[in-house]
Amino acid sequence: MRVRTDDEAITFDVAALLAVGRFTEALVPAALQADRLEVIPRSLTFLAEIVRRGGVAYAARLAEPLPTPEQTELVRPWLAEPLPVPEQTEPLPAPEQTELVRPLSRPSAPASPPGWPAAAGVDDERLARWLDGVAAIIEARRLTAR
Amino acid sequence: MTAWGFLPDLSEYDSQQMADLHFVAMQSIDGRVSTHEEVRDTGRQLASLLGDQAAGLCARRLRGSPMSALDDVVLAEAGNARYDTIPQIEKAVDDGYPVPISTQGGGEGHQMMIIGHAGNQLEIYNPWGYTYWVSEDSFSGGDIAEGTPGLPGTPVSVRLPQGVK
Repeated sequence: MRVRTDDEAITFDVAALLAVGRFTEALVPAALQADRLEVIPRSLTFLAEIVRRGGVAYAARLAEPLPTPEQTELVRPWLAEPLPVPEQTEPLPAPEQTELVRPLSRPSAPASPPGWPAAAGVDDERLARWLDGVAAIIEARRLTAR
Repeated sequence: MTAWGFLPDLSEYDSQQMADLHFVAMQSIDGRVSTHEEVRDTGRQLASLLGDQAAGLCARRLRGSPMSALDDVVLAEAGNARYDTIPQIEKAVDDGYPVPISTQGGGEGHQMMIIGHAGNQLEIYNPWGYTYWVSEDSFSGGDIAEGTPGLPGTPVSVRLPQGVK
């Protein structure tokens, strides 16, 4: 069974993943990093509503998108503008060909790695759903983690 | 909201809230509140009342957000029901909605999240501390534990965003 542990996932660069449209891969790392800072799920849900109604750019200008300075420092890069969108040329590789453990840092993250989906552009609804998803995973962890 | 803009709709107040608001308003209007401190304290009471009401309105709005607008889909014991649900799960995940899934096994229940989809594989986050992939066949067959000891592996229900049918 191919497994990626939380210890690996928490090291991923969430902003870099979002910048290249890899929302799904960024879900768990974001939830783990937020959970470590005791982010309350509903505060992310509220932020998602702000993104949905006011747009990412509006949310990014908030003084405190999340309640504490540490949480704000964590989430602010997530609200950055995505990188330019190149043409999509290849489909997402099947998991068999995908290296699941792939820690990223901003300097080493290309705008559009070959074989990976490109960013879909500025999409407020997509980011809002993603924030809702991060909140749901935090909630699931707190309900069922052992 | 009322025509005042910043006030909530008083029709949503219950009788106690109306009585409290009326008491505070009357104190202010008929001059019983005269000192600076009393005005300040009365203002705080009023702000607290309105704040509570605004929080209630906010909560009601949030109930309409995608992650809170979820439908429980019970998966029958038969494999066909699970198989038939796979396209809905994959559409929800592809659209950006993680799908909560309840499992049972060994007399225990568990909650996990389906977070990804590629080909005939589903990516599952287990809050016990890891992410893994299972095949559609494993899901349809009723065992997504992938041999993990103690992990309840039979899918019994999923929660899909409303509209994903």
